[in-house]
Amino acid sequence: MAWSRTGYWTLQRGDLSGSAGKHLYVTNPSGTVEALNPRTGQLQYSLSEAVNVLAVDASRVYASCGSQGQYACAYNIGTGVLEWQNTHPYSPKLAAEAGGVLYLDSGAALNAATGKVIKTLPLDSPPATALAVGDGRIAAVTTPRVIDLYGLPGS
Amino acid sequence: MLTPAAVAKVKYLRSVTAPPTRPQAPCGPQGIAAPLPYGGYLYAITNGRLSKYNPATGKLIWRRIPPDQETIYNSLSISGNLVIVGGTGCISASEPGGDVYAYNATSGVLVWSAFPETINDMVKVGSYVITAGSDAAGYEVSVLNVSNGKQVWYAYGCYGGPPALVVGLLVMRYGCDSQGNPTIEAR
Repeated sequence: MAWSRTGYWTLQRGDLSGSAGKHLYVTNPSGTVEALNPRTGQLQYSLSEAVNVLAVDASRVYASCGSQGQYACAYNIGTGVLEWQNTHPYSPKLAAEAGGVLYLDSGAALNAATGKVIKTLPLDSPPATALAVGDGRIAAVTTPRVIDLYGLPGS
Repeated sequence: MLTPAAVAKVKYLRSVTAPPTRPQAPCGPQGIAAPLPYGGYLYAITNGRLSKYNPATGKLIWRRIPPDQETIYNSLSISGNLVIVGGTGCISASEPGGDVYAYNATSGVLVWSAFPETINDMVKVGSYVITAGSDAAGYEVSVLNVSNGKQVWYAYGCYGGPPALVVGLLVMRYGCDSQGNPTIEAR
């Protein structure tokens, strides 16, 4: 065992599974979302008002935030400093980041660097219960038996 | 890759539909879980079945019914030419058990199977498949060899659940200290 921390912690996400992974995101026993060094378990920083970590990329960690987790926030991955907060309230539960775009279960596609809404996908019945991005397409599940695909025309 | 500039031009393309729930399916309707666009194809768990689609047309390429249908399949991973599906039994609440099946992604032929404890989440990292789950009996994380499904190691904890999580080549899991207090651990 590399390290252990005692108490009711909650594992959330990490940045990278391979050797380059530097950040483990957890909720500590007091309810604060923290980044730990995955090799030592030592605290790196806290994410102010974060509730659930939704996605992580090379530059930022994205989380639901606010007193009820009603907003989407982005934090600097190196420092944990808040970079932006999208104040349209809808309590995001799912997100996927790819190519500098943060896709939310509401259908909103945000510029990952600024939090500005680029596009809102016309989801059939949001929020999506599953969301995945790859091969230039977005797959969203909003009804029990249907996967809707979005992408550039002709793709 | 959809850049921010390209996303502004994104449109609805098409839909794929899961097969209906089979009559007397032991676990009832399961819907769609874990859609995964990968390598030019779309994989998904569709009402307890593993399906591979052509996302450019929406057409089904193959569909397989995992051998154990008393399982709610919730997780999907890809490793090379293997597509791996995992889930948790729906019959026993106290000891549901878990199933993992690996299929050849091209042909859909079953390659190996494994049966760790409850699976709420599964992830493939490098040469391994990591499962994590909890039930009335407790929490377990299990590490399987991705090439053959053999269990490499497993560990129990006194609380916890998903996710199956690996960061920096370390498996993150729930555990207990020598006094029985809950912990998180890296191994």
